Amino acid sequence: MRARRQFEQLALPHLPALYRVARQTGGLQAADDLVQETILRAWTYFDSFAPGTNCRAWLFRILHNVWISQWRKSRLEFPIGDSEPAGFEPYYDWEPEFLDEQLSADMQSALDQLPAPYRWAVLLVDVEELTYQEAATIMECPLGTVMSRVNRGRRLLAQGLRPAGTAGRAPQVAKVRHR
Amino acid sequence: MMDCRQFREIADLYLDRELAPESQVAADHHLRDCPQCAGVVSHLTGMRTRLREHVRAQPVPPDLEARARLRIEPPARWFSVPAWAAAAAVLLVVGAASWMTLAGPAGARNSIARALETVSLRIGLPSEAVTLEATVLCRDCELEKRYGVRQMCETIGHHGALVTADGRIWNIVQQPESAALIEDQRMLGQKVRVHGVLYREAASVAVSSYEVLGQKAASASAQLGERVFAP
Repeated sequence: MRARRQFEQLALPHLPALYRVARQTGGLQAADDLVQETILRAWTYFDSFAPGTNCRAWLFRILHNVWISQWRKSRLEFPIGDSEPAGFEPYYDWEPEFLDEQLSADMQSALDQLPAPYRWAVLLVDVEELTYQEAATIMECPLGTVMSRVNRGRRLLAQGLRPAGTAGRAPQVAKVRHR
Repeated sequence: MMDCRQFREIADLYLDRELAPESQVAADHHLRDCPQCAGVVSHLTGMRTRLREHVRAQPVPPDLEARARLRIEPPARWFSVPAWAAAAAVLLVVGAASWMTLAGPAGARNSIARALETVSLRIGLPSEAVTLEATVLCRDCELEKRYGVRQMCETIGHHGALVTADGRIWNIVQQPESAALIEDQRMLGQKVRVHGVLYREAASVAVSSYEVLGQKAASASAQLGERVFAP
């Protein structure tokens, strides 16, 4: 009984955050199921959670695993895999002309266009404000992979947010002035 | 000194405060003098703000928490007692625990154990005369191992129970005949043959006599006794 109360106090406050990410990664229909399954698994394995450690990251890790299981059931290909290009792209090409453009396009459709690994990274780091290390634990990948996913996610998001009509035009790769 | 090229390479880390302190300082310095790089940071933070606002503004189902609570089943019961008996036992335990706390933890625990046994015996659950072979192990240590229920054995001593080959834990009814099985720490890990009455649904056995078999098991949980024999 005491363990159940402890679990409720620790885990349930994170429900809204879990739902937000579940919705963006699994879609509106699946979000609820993803969250409920996450809570059920977390409760089942609650004795493996070390008290005093990061419950939020632990829950997100479970959510990520649940999401992968669900993905596997509905599709043939693995959502995160070798097709992911290595490395990240520094912002050499973000010249003032590019930066001056308003990010006016619809945020949800820009998010929807992000491939899953980049979307996860941006949601965990930008929205949920988790550290790179926490994100690496959650996504079960190396730190460097988190960094490149965050970078690519942001670049793609910025691209997707450019006003209609300019989306096709990539920023000019200009020489960056050295100081 | 950090230049634009270098800054553009660590811009994400800068934004996420993932830079080492020296790099953070160098980046701050660069940004003070470089409006172009400052523009990159401003673009990224503006995008992040919009992203956060958008995602956080989306409604969460109002009954999400209520439904999550329903999903959380009570933990596995120690004894396989039917629901109504368990409810009665809980009432007795609450009663026993509240006035026994004065007697100290050992007194409270024994009283709780007795209360549970009393309930099962009093409500006349089915019983069977048995001879069974089992290993004596500490009930609380086993429960901690299996369910993470914190044990107090360091403070109040181990509490012997019988573990049969199928891995089930059988509580030993407190009686003079079984006192050594429960209290004597040297019994832990011993394989025994026990004669008595088994209350299967209460997962308890009232021991009338027993024999110690063979040597003490080197690893108690690895050497469990043989099957329960019913007459």
